[in-house]
Amino acid sequence: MRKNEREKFRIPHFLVFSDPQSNGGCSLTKGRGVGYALVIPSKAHWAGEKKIFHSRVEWGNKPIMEKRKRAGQSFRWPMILVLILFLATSCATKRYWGPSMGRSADSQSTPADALQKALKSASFEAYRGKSLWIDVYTLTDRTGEESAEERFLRSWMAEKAVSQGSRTARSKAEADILLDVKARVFGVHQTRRDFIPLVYMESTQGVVDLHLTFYERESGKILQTEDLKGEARYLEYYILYMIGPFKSIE
Amino acid sequence: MTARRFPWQTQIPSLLFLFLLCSCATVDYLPPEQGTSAELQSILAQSLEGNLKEIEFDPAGKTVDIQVRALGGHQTPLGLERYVKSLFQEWAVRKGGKVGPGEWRMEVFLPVLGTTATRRDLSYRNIPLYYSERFRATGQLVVVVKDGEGKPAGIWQAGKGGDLADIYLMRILGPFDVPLGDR
Repeated sequence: MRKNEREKFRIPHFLVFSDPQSNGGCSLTKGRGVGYALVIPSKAHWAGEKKIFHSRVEWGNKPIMEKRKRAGQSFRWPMILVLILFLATSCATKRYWGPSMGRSADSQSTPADALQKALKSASFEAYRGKSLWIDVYTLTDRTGEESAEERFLRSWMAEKAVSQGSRTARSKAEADILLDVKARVFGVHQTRRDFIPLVYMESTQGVVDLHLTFYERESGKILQTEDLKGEARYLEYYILYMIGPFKSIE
Repeated sequence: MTARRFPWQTQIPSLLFLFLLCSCATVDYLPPEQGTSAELQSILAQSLEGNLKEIEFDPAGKTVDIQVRALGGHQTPLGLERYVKSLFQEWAVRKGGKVGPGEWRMEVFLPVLGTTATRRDLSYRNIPLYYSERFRATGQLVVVVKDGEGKPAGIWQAGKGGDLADIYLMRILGPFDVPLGDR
């Protein structure tokens, strides 16, 4: 096959192998691919290597298919750009308007999870059968004497103590043990992250840091102190500000 | 050859620039609006515990009646006062004293216990490049101890604050905690 014939020869679905024993050092074999090829044997073939086929394919002038392909390529990038610009204008934003919507679900669930983690290691076994009076002190907002966090913590701690064999006293004067719970932290920390326009994330981190002090009521002495800490994180993210939310809880 | 096969490689900087100039850049960080934030509580607690260490009064063997008066707190100082009282009670008992009506009276004043937050943004065309939040807690503690006759036995002042700064780059990278020295 002459060179000019090879250039003009068009075979759909072919793969070209070079064969040093064939006429002109080339042969054509059906295989995968579409187009025109000029096949040049490698040096090893010129040296007379047999039965081992290597190929080096160079695209020659391709009158019909190549033109179509190039036309498609010239449209590809503007289309991708338009798609990116279209997606880039999307905008998913998680909204919470406090305080009219109440405390958001994320802000309730994360400190509650963190509290559960913190109290996992708490043990009231030493006070089994004894009556406890629990006072909780926090630095959180309040409108009255006791904040929502204090009420919740006091009840939760009482349940934990009762489940381990303690009793809750009817009044402070009747209690055997006074338990002071100082919550250095009982709340959430929220962070929003934006990498415009690819990713948008909202993370809510519940943090609990408690300091427990057990007093003997009669003597007023400290029986035991304990620090309990727990954290829980809830992450939501959106890809391209539109796709999501993808959620993760730690 | 490489440029022909991968023409997008040469367009990466311009594409990236287009990414960054896209809309939805005018986003606002929403600080915690739900209750007192965890960071705020943490920094206040640290400030209080730091101030407590500077009180040189020794309550060993004494019965001390503790009263706390504060100006701060959200809406009402009651929670803050109760928290500080509990802190002093534990401190007194741990040092060998007792808490209750007795011959010694300890008056704890908290003229200042609060935080200020500073936010810094560096942005170009509403694209945030650098963003930081800095919490500064200012705490002042005045402790007056009086004996049974009402005479002042000692006055102590403490003023330890707290400082916490978080830095974010492009609102996605971070927070980077920044150690801050004394100001």
